[in-house]
Amino acid sequence: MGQGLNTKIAQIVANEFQLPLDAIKITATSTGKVPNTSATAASSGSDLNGMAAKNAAEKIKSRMAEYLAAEAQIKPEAIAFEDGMVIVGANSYDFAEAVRRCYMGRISLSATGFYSTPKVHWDPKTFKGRPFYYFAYGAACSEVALDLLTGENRILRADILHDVGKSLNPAIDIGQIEGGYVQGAGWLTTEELVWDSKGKLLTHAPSTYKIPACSDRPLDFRVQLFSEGENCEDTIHRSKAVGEPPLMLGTSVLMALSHALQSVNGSSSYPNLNAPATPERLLMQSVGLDQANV
Amino acid sequence: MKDTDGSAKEGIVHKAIRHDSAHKHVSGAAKYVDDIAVPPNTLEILLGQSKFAHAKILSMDLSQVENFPGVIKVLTAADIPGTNDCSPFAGDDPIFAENVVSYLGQSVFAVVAEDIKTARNAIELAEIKYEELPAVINIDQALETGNVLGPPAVIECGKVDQALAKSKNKLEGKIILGGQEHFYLEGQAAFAIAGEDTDIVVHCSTQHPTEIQHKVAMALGLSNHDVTVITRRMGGGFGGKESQGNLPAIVAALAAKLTGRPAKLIYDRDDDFILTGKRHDFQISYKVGFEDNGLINSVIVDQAMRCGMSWDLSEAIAARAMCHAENSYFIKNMRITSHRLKTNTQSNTAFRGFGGPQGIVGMERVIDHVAHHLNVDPLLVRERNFYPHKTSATHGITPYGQTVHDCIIQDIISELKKTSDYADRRKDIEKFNKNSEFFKTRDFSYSCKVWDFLQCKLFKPSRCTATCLQ
Amino acid sequence: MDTLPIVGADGGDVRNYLTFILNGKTQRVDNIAGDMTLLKWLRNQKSLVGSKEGCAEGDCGACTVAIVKTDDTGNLTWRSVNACIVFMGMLEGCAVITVEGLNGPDSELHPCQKALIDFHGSQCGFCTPGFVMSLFTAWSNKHGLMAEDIDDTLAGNLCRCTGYRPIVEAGLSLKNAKQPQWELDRNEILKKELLKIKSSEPVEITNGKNSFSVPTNYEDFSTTYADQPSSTIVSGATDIGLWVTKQNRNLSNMIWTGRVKEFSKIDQQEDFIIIRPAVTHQEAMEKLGSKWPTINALWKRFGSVQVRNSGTVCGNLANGSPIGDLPPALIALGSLIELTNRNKKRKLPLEEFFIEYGRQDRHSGEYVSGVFVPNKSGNNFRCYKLSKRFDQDISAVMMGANLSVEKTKITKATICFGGMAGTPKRATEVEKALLDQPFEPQSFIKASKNINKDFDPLTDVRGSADYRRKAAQNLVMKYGYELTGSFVPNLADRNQVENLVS
Repeated sequence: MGQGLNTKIAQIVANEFQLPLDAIKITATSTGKVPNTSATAASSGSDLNGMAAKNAAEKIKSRMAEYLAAEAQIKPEAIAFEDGMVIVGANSYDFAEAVRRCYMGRISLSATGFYSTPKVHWDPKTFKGRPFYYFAYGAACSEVALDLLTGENRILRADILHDVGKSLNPAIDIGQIEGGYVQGAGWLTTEELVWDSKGKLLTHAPSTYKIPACSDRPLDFRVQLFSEGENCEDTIHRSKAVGEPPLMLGTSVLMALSHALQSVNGSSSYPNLNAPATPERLLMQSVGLDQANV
Repeated sequence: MKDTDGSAKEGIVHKAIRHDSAHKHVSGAAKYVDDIAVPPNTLEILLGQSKFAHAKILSMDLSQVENFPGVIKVLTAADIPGTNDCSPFAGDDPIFAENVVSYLGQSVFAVVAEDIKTARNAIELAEIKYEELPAVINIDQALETGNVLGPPAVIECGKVDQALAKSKNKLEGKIILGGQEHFYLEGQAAFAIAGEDTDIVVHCSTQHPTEIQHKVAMALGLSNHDVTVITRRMGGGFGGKESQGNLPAIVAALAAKLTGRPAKLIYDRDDDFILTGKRHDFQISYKVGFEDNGLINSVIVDQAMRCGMSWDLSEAIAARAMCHAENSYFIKNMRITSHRLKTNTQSNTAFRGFGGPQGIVGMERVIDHVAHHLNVDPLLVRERNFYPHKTSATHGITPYGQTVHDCIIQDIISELKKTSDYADRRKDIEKFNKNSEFFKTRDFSYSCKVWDFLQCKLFKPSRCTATCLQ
Repeated sequence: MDTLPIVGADGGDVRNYLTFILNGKTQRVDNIAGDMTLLKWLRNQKSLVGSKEGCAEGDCGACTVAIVKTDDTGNLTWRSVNACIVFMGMLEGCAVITVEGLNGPDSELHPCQKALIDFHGSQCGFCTPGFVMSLFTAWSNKHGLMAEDIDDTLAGNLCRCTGYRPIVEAGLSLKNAKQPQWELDRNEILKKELLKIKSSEPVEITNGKNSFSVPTNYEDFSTTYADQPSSTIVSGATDIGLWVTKQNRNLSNMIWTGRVKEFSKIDQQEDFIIIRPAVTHQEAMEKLGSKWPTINALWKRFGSVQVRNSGTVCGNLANGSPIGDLPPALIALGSLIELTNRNKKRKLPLEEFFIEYGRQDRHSGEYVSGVFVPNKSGNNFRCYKLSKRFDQDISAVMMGANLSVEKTKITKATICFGGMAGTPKRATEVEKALLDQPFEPQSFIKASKNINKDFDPLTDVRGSADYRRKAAQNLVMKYGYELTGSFVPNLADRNQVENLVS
């Protein structure tokens, strides 16, 4: 999608060739170059494209290795890609030189990679099967403050521990987690869509529809990747998808607000808090509780 | 050759490398669709939108729009050489409404003009006569009138009713969850140039270039190979650019094709809100049977979701919501029923989590309600019901029949309890709340299990699973 | 075109082109529509596409650019503004810096840009140029990059990807960054260039259809407007900009207050602080905010830095919005509004200016020429704003309140609400109920019930009638608790909230 996918793919390819990252050029996605792709969606970007990119790189590497080995009259297994160099027996070439040799030797230097997720199946009639290759796990602990006179509230502190398998890029993964949490919290608190009875959407601009602003992030925001994380399935470098999962961590904010209402002195009935829990909904809910206890 | 997954160093993966475009982002050099330098003869397009949620189109007089100085062409359904559809698969999303409009804001025609200001001035001169029809706007109305896209879908495991009846405690309740606008900072955007023969190139901000390629070809009556779709980057998508980019891309391509000039369709913020689908709003009703120790025996969940005027991706989203309905809890007896409701509103679509978040919030609400009833920390109820740890002798099975063999939620919770200082803070907060009349704080630990991605293949077999990179 | 020629004070003709500096290069711009926005011009005419359109209403900040001027002492002052709602005429005599104009020699990135990279502050990148520019103006002003004010600096920039934490940390890191020599040199050159284009000539630009007049003194302004009362007075364009970008309205003649030299002043008299038409919220906030912390806190939640840097106090009042944040506060302070028609001036209590929804006591040819805020209002003045989101939101309910206490009794009360009626309106029944009552919470609790007699609010997207009533009652109570010393922290105030973190 572009929030970090391209970077991860570049890392994967650089790693295959053992090249520095700036040797990898990222260009636009074009159906003329790569037809019949899946959407960048459902958190699948790195899983699918990472594996496919690795597959493509491996093809090129093995062609290069085969040619360079034959040229040097050694076994292809003796060829190694290391530190921007290609080691060919006793010789070593820098990558560009190795590529030039292969080119002159009429070796194909482009490849298409392919990957389809194994093990999954689903019967849409019975709704049974294995729709998911693996699961990602995470937990969040949110502390909120709620003003019972106005319904205003703040996220005071959020602690998150999330499993991304073996992270392909911790900075990007933490970015996804933080961003997902805040987006999830926004969905459940300030982001309210209003249609009138005629079906007209009344909230159709940032003036009326309120996504989280800078000060809405948790005052104290502690995000960690689960350090022992490692995908037990054979995913790209044992990582796990990170695009969608963290959004659900924002649920903890709604639940914390529900708890704050439950702790209204003397209340006993369950608050039945709906979302988005706007200041209005929280205030009116707390009033309802008050009245229920009169 | 050495295996890089094995002995060779993995120096560059697992590292916190900066975003590949970061230097371009900060210097304003990262180009998005509307930033592409376009030829001076490029046309700009504005969509004419329905003024009613549900109405018959009695007549359409667009002659004044057409004659407005600077307007090059007006496009309606009659101008579409191929199929008048921009849906991802169900065939129920017209590019331009014909005969009937199905939501307020729906695309009815398009003005292709020298510039957007001209298009804005011209569009006000459209004369469309409607006959209003009864509209179904929200979930309650749809449930009442039985307005559905398809019959209810059910996932069931165990002996739900028996287990509920035998439970010591029973609760029922309902939570209403609003929808969510994607609010990607960059609105939907497409720029099309017709080339030689029947070629057409479309630059667009999309998560799904291949689908756009196919939909453009279908609408323009071309072969897929006539159409090239290029996407460098998006200014955010979050699911909102999985299927919703089809319409602007097709209209831009159509305009370019019919006028022979490059054409651009960028939704401004209001149009983007009003035209495009959002996260589905849900009403989730539940019944739960449980023991005094917090063990949940049986859960019955009814998920009513507002799909809008067409399927879009709602079938898969409904399934995903159902497949997340138990979250990370091993519920041996569970029935999940999904009501896919048809309404005269924007056709709701993919949004980060794809139904999963709604399913999960529903289950977290059940846990919260149970804990409230038992007057215990909800975390205890959570821990009581987690799927067995991956090292357990037996694994849990989801309501849809998948064995959960990789569960590590217990490890995560126990570490997070320590690092967040959960127990002490909880005590502090309880003390604070007792002493505070107007001011409440409360913390809470929440766990989730979240899923991989495969619903698209499962529910949309027409799509290819291949992907690759140069 | 029936525009009357404007005659300068010195009798000279009006200049028909604009002069300003764009990323270090002096521009001469003529033959341009009066309603052309800076963002459109940058993107379409100059191919500077780094500034993005995210909303075209000044709410997302993706189009943020810096506007630079020199102050009275010759120092540079920097303002971040939303280019999507700045009209070109408002640039006369200024320098504009866009994200493309930040880097140093050999494309060296500016420290603000580097920081965002280092802290992984961009994901999709679309909002990033706006964040860069907000940080850059704070950096240049040497104010706004500390923990206590970074949220305010960034409140006008929306990001949907990051959750803001890395951007905030990038901003905070800048306080230790060294200013490059090339930037110091560049600023020196900019100062000189700004001096060169300094003038007091009036300007009018037009494309033959839409004109934008930039008078430079009070007489010109008054005469022009009295002669052409159908023209639109523009101050900060934070509302009128939207008439163009959102409502596609055709404004044939606009007159701008921003360069009228008498209009940019805050006059301090013995009894009043006088805010003139071109005084921005940011300027007024700096003046009044130090006097009343409560109004400072309110102002911080007024739009965003970008909006406050453009929008004016007088414009906010003239606009007559029933949900404006300032009128209840200013009414509670007992402010007067001054209206001028040519040379005729009249003053009236601010609350009387608002007659009914959409109608103010402003005659044809009259304009709002000043707000008179009493200098000596007491310590019991408080403002409360309720909105869905703390920052950058329009209030659902807004209360400004003030009272006098003598010998433990309430002797005078002014309680004014926004969002509760078609105009900002005083809660007279609540006020009555407070009079002569003991200065204790119980009096406020009792009086708050009278909200129902005072108001019959509407239901709209910002709040239901029931919520507005209940919230307004509670605000009266909250005011009472706060004045009498109960613990009622204000969650809008970050510093108070920080003390709550366990």
